[in-house]
Amino acid sequence: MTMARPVQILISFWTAVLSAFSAAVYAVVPRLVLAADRLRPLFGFTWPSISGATPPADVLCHFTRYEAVAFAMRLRSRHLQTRAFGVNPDGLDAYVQKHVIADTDRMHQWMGAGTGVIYACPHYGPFLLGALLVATQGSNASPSHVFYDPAESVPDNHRFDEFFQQFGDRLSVLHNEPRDLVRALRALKNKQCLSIMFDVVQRPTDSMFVPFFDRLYPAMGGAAYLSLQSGAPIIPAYVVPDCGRKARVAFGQPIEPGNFTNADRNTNIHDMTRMLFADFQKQLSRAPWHWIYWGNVGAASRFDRSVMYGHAALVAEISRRCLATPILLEKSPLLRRLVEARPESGPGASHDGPSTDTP
Amino acid sequence: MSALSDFRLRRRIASLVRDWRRGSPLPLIILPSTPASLQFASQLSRDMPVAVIGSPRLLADWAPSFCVQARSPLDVWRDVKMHKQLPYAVISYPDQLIGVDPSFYRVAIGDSNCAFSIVEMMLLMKFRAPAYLGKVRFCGRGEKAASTLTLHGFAGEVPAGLPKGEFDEWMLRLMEPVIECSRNPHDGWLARDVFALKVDGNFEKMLKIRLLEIEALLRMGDDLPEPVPLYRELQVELQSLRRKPQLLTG
Repeated sequence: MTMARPVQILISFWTAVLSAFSAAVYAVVPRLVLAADRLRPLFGFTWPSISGATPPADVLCHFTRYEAVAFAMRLRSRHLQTRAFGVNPDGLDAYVQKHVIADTDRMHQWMGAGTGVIYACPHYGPFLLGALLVATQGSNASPSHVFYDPAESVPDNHRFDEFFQQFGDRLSVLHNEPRDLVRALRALKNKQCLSIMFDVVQRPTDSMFVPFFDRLYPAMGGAAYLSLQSGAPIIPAYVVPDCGRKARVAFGQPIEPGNFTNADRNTNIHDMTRMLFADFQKQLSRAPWHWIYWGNVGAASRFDRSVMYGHAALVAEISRRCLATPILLEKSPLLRRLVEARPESGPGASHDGPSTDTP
Repeated sequence: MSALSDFRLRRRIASLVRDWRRGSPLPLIILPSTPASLQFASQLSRDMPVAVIGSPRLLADWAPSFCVQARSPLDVWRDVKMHKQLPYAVISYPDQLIGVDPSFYRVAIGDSNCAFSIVEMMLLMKFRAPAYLGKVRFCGRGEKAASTLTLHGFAGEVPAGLPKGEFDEWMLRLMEPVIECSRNPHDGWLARDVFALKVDGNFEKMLKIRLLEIEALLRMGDDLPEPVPLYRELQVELQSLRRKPQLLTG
């Protein structure tokens, strides 16, 4: 007993020292990186790219010192994410209260509206802390839910499955498969909240394409479908690293299903998903460093933005794609009619702009 | 074994850089996607001007610290076509490139057809640049899989205006390192799963993606001030076409 007391004091002391050291590193390293970046022209070194690709050149050109800022930001995100994996069920509320800054009043307001809430969280910054924030909104009687791809399609998700399962009845894990989609819908109808990762598609052939950074980007309509079926709004939520080893959750513009009243459900799903990605694009235009899937944007097919403003440009863009895959014209008479009747003049008709990724 | 620790590769890089400084034409290098070949490309790009043709998404996944931005065949072709000689060495990873448009040429390999980009052939026909093929030898399995890379000069000059039979032959010769990897896919070959999309049956997937893209464009047409009824009809037709299990044969 007499020996145990000094050992405890020693352990507490070193824990406090390590914690202070870690806080200092968290605060100082990004500043050091940015300061060192000023010396880059002299020494010609490059920053390592951690966790994800850089944006394509046409996006990258809008951001000065992208690599250094991304490196600094991602070091912070990685640190926060690693620490978040150490949270246990007993310490969840205290941890979130201490390390996550969010407008909880608005969250309570959405939850109190009587429809359930869908938080659309991309793989952006230390997104795990966003999931923990959602977990604190749940209880044993009315759990929160996280919805993402199963470990069979993304092996790394096994780690998240194991982590989330420890929160038991308070947070349930739902996977992107029909049975869990029904469960998610039931949960929303019971006025519970759901966090959904919407920015990555495993099977592009089962997806839809939405405009995103002048490209046609594959997107899943799951969030929009659930919203339309349940009446729950979609709230875009972006988690960014903040000062003092904290993460800040920034909410985007809520997307209310009641505003989409087209008779065709698929059109509503597409329009809602498009709006969700437009909100995400706004956030990325402000702070692109936190997203890890920029490589998918680089790989997506570009299109001429003027298709949004004129028929001629739209038909020219479609024609270009059909000329690259002539078999589609054979299979679709209406497509052939559209392409063959296209106006020879007008905006975009003779456009030689962005093309597919091959000569 | 890493490219950097491989003495022969370091010598090869030194010799390529020496040739470039002497003013010799810059080469085209065709490599299969392996950790060793990525390290080789990364090292070479530090020592001389290089363009890498491959998939940016895949390279970001396989080699996050890869220091060159991968470019599409079209991008490189547009950039070089006005020059008399290649303005930079071109390193191509044909096993990463997937497409269904006419710039992809289908070559019979065994019982099936495989689609390869014709950009390498076009570069050779236009510039008659020296070409090197990277051959890999694998050892170990699973996490311990490793590979060694050797560069072999490509003999012969590709003449312009080839008849189909001869074109196939040249294509097969150029793609030999990649085809060799596909014959006995090893854990260390990074493009193992991606290559499957280049094979005939998977063409369907690419066509369906193209249909989805056209549908998305037509939906943008709904926002235009004067709606065109044909767009809506066409969307319905494309949706039913996309739902067919076999688009090419159905």
